[in-house]
Amino acid sequence: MHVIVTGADRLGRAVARWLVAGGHEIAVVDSRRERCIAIDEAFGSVSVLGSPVDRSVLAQAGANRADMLIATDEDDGANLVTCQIAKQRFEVPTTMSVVNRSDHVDLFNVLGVDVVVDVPDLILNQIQEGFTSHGITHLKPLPAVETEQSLVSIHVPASYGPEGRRLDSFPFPDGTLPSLVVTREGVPRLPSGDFMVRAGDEIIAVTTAEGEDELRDLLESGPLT
Amino acid sequence: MVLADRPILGPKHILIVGSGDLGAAVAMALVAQGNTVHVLDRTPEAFDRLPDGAVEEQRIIPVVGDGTSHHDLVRAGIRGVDVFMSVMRNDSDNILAAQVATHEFNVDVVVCRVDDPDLQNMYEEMGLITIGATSLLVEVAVQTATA
Repeated sequence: MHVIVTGADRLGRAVARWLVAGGHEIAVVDSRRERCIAIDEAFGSVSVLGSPVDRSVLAQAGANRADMLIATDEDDGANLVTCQIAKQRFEVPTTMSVVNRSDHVDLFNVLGVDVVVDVPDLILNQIQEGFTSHGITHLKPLPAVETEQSLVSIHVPASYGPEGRRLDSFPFPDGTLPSLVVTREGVPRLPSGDFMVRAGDEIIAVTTAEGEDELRDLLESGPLT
Repeated sequence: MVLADRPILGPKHILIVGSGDLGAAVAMALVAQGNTVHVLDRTPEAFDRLPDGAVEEQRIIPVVGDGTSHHDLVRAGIRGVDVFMSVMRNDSDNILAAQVATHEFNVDVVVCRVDDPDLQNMYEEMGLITIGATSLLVEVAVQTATA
């Protein structure tokens, strides 16, 4: 894919590195010369020096043939305008933007930015994870259905031991659906009832808000016999 | 509410974001016509441009804050205004603030300063009411040259 990244600060650079590693063609737009030089030194001549809210700069970055634009600036106004130019003037199929103030998230969604990343919320979630260490990470809310469901990752704590226990012996709450197990070696497995879950494994599951509370209690109380 | 449903006469409440040279001058002109103007700016020093008398009489109400922040816009009285104008120096800031006023607070009339003529065209096409220094000056220059 051809992907335009706007903003060559640390975040933009990390996104660029990940895209290049994935074999994608990139162009990185930033109005600061030293950041463009750093990008070119790291990834070859892929930087475009100029304002990301200038149509001619985006054209130079290949907006006409871009499959995606990712706005990573610290300025929400610039990110929004960049995404709107990409959609209105270049019909870029997918626009993605970080949002630095959570109160702008709804607006970005309403105005048609395809993927909106709420930076303060993400960081807060990570802090909450570290603070409570309950081993459940929110991956994604699932829209639609009347009950509020989300995709979560459950880290199986050390107290569950290396020999493990059958997945179907876990007293999962109603509405909780284990969908994938990533073993502690990093191997993804589709879980069957007789799958042996061990400490360090990660269970990806669909659950409800109430289910999540029960799961948390379950994990904190240690392995059930 | 469409414009035609609103009373044509009578003083309005107007929120101006950006108390620079343009914002302050617009605020003074609107106050002179009998309107009440709320002015929001990030830097308190920007309010030095406003006339003391009008501020004391609360015909101009300055509030320190960020014109793209929901919290600060509410503090500046956005829920009660008839007209919203974002006239900061940065086009992107103005566009973000104007779209917040339109989509999050449903302000009846939203005016946005966009100096880049290309961006101004795009947002006009998208339904925003814009004013732009470049396009205005070009118009005046052409009129003057061809008069």
